Amino acid sequence: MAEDLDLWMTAARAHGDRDAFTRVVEACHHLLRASILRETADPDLADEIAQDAFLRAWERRAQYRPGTSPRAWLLTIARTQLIEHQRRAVRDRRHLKELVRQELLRKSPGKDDSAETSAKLDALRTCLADINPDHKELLDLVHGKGLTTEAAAHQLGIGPPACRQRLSRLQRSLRRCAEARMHGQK
Amino acid sequence: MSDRPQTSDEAAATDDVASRAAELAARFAAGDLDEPGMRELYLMLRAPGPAGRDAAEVAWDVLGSTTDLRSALGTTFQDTVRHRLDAVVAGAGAGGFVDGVKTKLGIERPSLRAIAPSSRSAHDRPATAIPLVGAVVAGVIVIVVALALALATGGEVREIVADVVWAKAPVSVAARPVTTGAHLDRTSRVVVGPEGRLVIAWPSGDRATIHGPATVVPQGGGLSLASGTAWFETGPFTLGLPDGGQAIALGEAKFTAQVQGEVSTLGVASGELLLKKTREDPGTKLEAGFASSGPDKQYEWETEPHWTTTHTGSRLLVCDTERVAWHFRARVVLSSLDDAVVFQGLTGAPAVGVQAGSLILRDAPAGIGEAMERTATGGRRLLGQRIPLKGAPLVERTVELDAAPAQHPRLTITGLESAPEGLTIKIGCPFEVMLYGGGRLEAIQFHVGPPPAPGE
Repeated sequence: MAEDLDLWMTAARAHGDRDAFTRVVEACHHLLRASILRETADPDLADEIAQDAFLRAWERRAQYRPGTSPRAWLLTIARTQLIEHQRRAVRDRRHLKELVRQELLRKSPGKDDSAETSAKLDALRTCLADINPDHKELLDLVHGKGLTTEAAAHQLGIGPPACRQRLSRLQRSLRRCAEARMHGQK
Repeated sequence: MSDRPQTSDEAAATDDVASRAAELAARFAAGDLDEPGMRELYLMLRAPGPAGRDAAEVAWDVLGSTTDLRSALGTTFQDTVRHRLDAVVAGAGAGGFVDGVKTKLGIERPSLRAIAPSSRSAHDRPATAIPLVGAVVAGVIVIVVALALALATGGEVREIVADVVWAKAPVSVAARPVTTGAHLDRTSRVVVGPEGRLVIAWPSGDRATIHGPATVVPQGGGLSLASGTAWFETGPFTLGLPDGGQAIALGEAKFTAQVQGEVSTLGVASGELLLKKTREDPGTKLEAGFASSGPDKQYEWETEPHWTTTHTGSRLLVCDTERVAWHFRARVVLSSLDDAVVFQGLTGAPAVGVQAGSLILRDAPAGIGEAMERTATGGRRLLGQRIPLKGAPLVERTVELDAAPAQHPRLTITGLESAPEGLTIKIGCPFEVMLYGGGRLEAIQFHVGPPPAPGE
């Protein structure tokens, strides 16, 4: 995979090959998103910064050095984007969301290494294959299509509180399943 | 989760808390947590000790799994990057700008696949794009202006932690007046002058009322009280004290703190405080109805006087103030030149007398007032020094005795121009109050521990 990544990134650099770069995006987006999440405690903000990072990587693709690690290069760019975002942002710290975010960052669990992030995603995909269709639909609506839990509840014909509880339980059980798989218990 | 063994009830309660934290965190991660929920999550995260850490651990797990699930199930992220690359490659011009704005907002263009960096669905999106684009442009202008202002003020964008709800001069930060509506950051050392009043509110709803003279520095979810008196109504909250100690509200609480020199006195009206000498100290709890004047000294927080009558007919203020802070305040009313009010310590020697136009002290500092010997009405002899008081002889005067823990009280009285800061006298509590002629006391206030909240 690492060699493929280097080849794709080298093709993007040498020929402006967008398809090759798209493959890099496909292969690395989760790592960047998960990595920036640790610095922002906000999945939406993490996604936005990760997107900016990929765009910046495309614009500066000539600076990529073939034979090195595209993941490390992208993470460096992402970190720079994050710092720029923090400099630009005039956040209203009186807003409760910002307070929650700051509190979470104060109690951050630290950084995942990239191998673990990738393994966790693989384990999660395996666990997702085993869940029942109703649960899969709920996850698809909320995490795949980006509906709010209220909108998802409406679509599924259940009340929002029940939907939120179901989603919360489902996520916890998936997390346990993924962790068990990662540690070879299942 | 914490390592402490739990009972089955505690374990069930922990599970409930963890479930609730997980549900709130999931809504937070999805961006659809309402304000009460946000406040609840914030309070859970701010909870001291393992509870806060456990809630944070659960929340981080949920945030991580949200991103994992989005990565595993959706293509929105990749679609958005692809679309933005299209715009970059095509050099989209004005249309590209609108696309960029819409992409940021998560508004779909008819010819494109679903693009929603903020993960909001079409179901939730506004019906018309134009007002939103206008709003974004206006927002950009606001941000540019804000940044320009920030640059004009030295390029610093300071973290606002609390707002001034009410300020009565003199209140200042760095010698600049502070007025109602001002924002305070962690560097705001607020000086409240002798007659100043200040009410600060935090975004979480916590509130502090400070009476001058006082010096405070607000923190996120807390306050450093360098000197003076402050009353608090808070949820989880940390009060920093000058000796390095902390008073931590464990939940909803009403409490008072008074810092006199190096000594801090705390009283809890409701809820409870965890008092820590240092950050590492596990701390001791201070419950409602109790006050503390330093390590290992807790006592009932008395907020009104309790009197008894002595065999001579004088009134005795009942109190046990060994090593604790106490305060007495009353208005002395005299109706003739022969009237007097005398405060007499139980040991006999220390005494303070107030009579028409003068203060009489048995143990006054040398050089103040004139030596005297007088026989007061009722045949009680008072030896000491007479100190003239400014103003009409029979004017009503306010007398105060204010004692820091383990110290003699400081006496102040209206018209004492020779010692406007007051005099330290060796009178303790309990003490007798003897009234001669038509002399009397009115509007008596007394408390052991910090002062009760204003108006209570």
